[in-house]
Amino acid sequence: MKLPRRVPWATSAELDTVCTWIYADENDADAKTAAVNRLSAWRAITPLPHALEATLSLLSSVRLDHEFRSAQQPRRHSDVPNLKYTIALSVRQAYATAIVRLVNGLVDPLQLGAFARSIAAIAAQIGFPQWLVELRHAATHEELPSLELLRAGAKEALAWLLHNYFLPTLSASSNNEQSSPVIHLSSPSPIFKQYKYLLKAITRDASLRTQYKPDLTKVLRDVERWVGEAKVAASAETFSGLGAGEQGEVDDENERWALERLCEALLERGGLVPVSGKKRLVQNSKTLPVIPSSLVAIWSPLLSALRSTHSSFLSVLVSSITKSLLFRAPALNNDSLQKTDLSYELCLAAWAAWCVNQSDAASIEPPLREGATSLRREDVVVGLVTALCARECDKNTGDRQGARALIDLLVHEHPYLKDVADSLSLASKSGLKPGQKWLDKDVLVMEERLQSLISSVSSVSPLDDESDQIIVLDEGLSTPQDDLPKGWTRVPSRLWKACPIGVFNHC
Amino acid sequence: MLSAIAARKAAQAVKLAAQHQPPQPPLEKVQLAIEDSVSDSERLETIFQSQKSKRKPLASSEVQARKRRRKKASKSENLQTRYYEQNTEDSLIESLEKEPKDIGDESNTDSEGEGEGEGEGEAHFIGDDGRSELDCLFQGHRKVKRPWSPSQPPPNSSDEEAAYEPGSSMLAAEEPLVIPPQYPRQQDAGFKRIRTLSFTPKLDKNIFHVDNCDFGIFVGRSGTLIALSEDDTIALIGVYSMTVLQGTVSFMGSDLYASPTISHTVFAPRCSPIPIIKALAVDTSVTSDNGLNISGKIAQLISPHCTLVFFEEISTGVEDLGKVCKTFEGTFDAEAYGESILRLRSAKMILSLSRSMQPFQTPASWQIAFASLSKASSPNSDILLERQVLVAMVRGQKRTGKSYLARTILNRLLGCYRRVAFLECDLGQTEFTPPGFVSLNLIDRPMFGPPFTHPLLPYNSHYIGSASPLNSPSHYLSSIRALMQTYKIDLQYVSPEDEVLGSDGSRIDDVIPLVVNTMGWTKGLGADLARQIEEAVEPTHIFSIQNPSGDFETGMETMKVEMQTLNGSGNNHQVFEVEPISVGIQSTRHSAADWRTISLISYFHSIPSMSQTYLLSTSVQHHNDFSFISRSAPLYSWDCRLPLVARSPYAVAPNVALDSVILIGAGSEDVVPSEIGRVLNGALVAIVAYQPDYTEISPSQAWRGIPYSQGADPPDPLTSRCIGLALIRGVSQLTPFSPPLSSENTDGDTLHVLTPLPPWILATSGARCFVKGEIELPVWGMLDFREIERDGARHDIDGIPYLQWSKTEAAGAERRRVRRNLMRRGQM
Repeated sequence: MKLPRRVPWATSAELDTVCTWIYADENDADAKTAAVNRLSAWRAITPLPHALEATLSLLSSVRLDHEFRSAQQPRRHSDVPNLKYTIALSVRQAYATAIVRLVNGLVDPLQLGAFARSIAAIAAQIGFPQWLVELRHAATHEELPSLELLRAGAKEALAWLLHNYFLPTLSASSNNEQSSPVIHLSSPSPIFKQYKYLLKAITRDASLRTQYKPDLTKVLRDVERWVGEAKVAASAETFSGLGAGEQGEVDDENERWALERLCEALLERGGLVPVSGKKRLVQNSKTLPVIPSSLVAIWSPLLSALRSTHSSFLSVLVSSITKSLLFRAPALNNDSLQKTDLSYELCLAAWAAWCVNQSDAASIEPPLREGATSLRREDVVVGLVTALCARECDKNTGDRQGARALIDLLVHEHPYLKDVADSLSLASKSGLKPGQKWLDKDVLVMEERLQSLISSVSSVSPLDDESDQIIVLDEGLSTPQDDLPKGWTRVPSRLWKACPIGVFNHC
Repeated sequence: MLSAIAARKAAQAVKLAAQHQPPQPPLEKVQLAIEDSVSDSERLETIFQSQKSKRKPLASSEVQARKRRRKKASKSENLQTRYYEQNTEDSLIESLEKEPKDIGDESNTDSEGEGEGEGEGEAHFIGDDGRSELDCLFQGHRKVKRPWSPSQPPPNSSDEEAAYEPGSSMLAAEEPLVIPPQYPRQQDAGFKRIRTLSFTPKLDKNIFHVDNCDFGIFVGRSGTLIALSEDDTIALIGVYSMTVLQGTVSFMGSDLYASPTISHTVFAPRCSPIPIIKALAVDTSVTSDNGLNISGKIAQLISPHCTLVFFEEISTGVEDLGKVCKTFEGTFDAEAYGESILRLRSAKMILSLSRSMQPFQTPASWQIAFASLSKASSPNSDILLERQVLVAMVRGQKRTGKSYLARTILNRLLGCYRRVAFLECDLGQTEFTPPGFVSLNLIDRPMFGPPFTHPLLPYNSHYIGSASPLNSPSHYLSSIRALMQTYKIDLQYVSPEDEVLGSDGSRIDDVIPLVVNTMGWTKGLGADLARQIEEAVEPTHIFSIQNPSGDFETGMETMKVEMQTLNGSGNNHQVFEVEPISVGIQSTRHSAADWRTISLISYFHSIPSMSQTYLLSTSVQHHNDFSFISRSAPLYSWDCRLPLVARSPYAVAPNVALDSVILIGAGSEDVVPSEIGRVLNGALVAIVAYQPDYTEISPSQAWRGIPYSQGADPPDPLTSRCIGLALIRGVSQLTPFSPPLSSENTDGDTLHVLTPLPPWILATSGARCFVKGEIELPVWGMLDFREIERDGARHDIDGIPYLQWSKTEAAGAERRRVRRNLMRRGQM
């Protein structure tokens, strides 16, 4: 089950109060002090959302600045605290730290790829003011910016937090139908197009290899960057506010989502499968489809690069291919298209077989890596066979020649798998056929199974009566009140009603 | 189902093999036997079957499997027929297991389904099934090539001792002893796990149900007697009491000798390595009559050469912790895995270990280190002759099995010593207390089970308040030094007046050795802290677990028993480099945070029994008369009938009951007095007692009766002691501008406090200080599990204060997340 998150406020009304203290009147120093005190208290209760933590440190800098300024005016010297040792540098440092931490904290959760994306790019994606990013850079690596600039930066940052954290949070809790911000995700196809162009040139003329090397590296990085962006988009789609322990799982899901989108683009015509029907397969091989070696030479560098950074890539690719082979709607157009579709499917099948072979070759070496999404020939075959049989049963949706070809490709050098595939398809054929009727016998078998399931569940319960003994033990331990230290009394359990932690029960 | 058949077959095959051939490496044969016994047709069936039961929990892909399970949950419910078809054991477990995880996941599944196209094919396709069986076969093949079989049990410690040069004095040895190179190589051996258990249960042949026992001291007790032949292995899941009646068994790294008066309580949940009971050879030359008078029909059936173990069911309530914290739900439940042939309600016997279960096995290098330890504890060892008390320290990186090693050392020492002290320095994964404590515990019996199954009151402890000493290194160190001082003054040498315990003869009881567990933070500041701890502890033996990611080849070469003599100080200690244990499964299924959660939940639901008083400082004992309590009574039990929200608390008047309230942790200095009620509301606080003569603390500011002093230092460990943790579940007034106080309590707030600490501890300790650190009550502890069970935990239980169910899309709404593995472009 999905756990809620712990927040320091009892209701969002309390957050609203703090928001009012901060933003209602810019010059109300007392309200700002109240906000700082409240946020400091919240911080001691539970780790704050990053936006609130950033707000706290911005506010405390603003307050320090305010005190510093009033201390510099001799007339009001009497009623301000002694700031003898505060120099402008302290104030600048306070501002600078607040801004640096704000930007880092906003950007870091979105660094989802293996490689760092530029902060400016991420900031642009979430609509964060560019000049604050520059201010961050200056404050971190260059001359510490001037007080004037930092003041303006803090003001802008607080305004940005109001519009991007406080208002959405408060309105979300009052009105759940809040539209989530759409994070833009471009198609990776142009990158692939450029990649293909480069590789075609290299494979035709090996002497160009060194010349094009920088370009090729750049394209591969572009792909990697695209995956990073897609992960950000994925985290917007899938819920990521899970408990801390499940963060890794969420990352995995995001990565899978991103890779699936990538594979979709790869499977388009002009991707792994050339546009021209003639280039798709080796012409003379009659029985099993084979991809031409020139095609392999073009795509294998990209595939192996992706695979080295994303261990699950091959399995995602194969799963995308099989999905496409199994469930692609039969071509509605005329016959000629249907025909080219066949070679498209066969080419995809050949690619999938290529992936499985690659994965097999690699998996001999290292032992099962913990959690690695490994691709297994057996799983693919069995999955395909069962899916095919199930399909056959409900309706006749074309021949699915591609899928059949893939099975043949996968099993033809593995006689024992061939047996499995054959027996599986036999088994499911002998199972329920469309015309076959339900027999009472079948229901009986199922009932029997249900019974055994229920009985094994219910036999757990007898332990319950044991808990009565614990009651006795409990009562035995709770000695009379006078044994308790001074100031401690026990609230009688008969007066006690359950109420949430943090709510005082006046009983 | 299939695996059970295979296991039985395998076991039979072993028996056959054992009859015909000398039983050289028995367990290796098991693997081969599986291979032989599974014919081709069965192999096909295996694949087919397991394909159907696609919810098989698997070790290597546990994480993904879980993920997929969640995705598939709704689909499988639509496919009713398939659900019924899954009649295998594994699917049963899965169906039991998955319920809680899927609760409230519907919305998620929908959106995920879209991305998957028509999920049916997908589900088949990514199926991870059949892997265990196939792997079994493949591994069998590979195995043949390797001469050394890691599944072969390591020689027991007595052999080890013989192999050693007994004359070489431990403290004076000049030459480092290098362990012979035929050592297992962990890399490819993968520390081959036991998968099959060799014991074949046959009712009334080697398993006997005993009702109202009529022999010896067991009169009136009911249980199950098991007769094991040499090298038989058996494993149970659940909670059970185990008594060795005849022979010796090897259990969780310790050897348990026949001792009818000692029953061991064992907690064997699936979430931690499964303890394997292995019968060792029975020494028939020693026919000791230990009050065992087995009568009647059983006596005739039992050979004097077999090992006899008596199992009894016990009810502790620990199983119900999974009800509160669903991440551990059903972890003691072996119904679907186990055989009920034992007729015990709290435990089931398992016939083979599925991939999701890891057996508790100690690497061979541990055994070697243990051997030297038991040598040091033998009555005429040098260490004892020099009146030096054994102090064993465990160090190593996180996730290398430090706490397993420390616990195993503790259990082994309890075979030789009457009592053993345990110093916990690992704040994140504490053994006996909730997280955030450094503690000194006195232990008088072996602890078999993961840490959350033995919440003990500390002999002395100090609250650091965080899962890491990062923010308060000096307080952390001074706390450890203070505990070492307590150990040296109060515990190390038992004064004659304390020896009213009555000696049991066989075990040393005039000194108390110490086991020290350290933290896994071994880099940077952590390394510096570790060095200072070592100086404070002055260990005689150091068990250093190697870095698992390091180069194992070089690791093997340096694996030796080396001697380090520090110049001049005379500070001798022996260092053992030992292999890390593979905690693979544990680390994927439960994170360190999960273990902290269950530890806290277990603590607040525990009921410390009066018998713990013998393990507490004498000041507590002198205040009370506990002579009526049996020493061997259980130390604790659990009560999970009510969630924390429904428990009646103590009402504490802070102005009367408390001298000071202190906040520790980074940033807590900024909490102003008017906000203290808010901060304490729902907080976990440590209850701290000052020494009677300590009057220095005088809170400068009190807020509505709460004696809070802003920015105060944590209590000085030398003059204070922490007795435990409490939850302030409610504060009467939170807002500064509240209406006048109620008539009965005119001068301050009321705090509603929940704590498992028994009143006699609260009363005798004189604890008048609350310290709040960074450790929080887990969210599971704030929920009412009865509501979750009733309503199916939909998201609409909104309205619980301080919890937020809905996701906000706002920027920066998440807690800060740190990435340390981010690479730059140039690194590609």
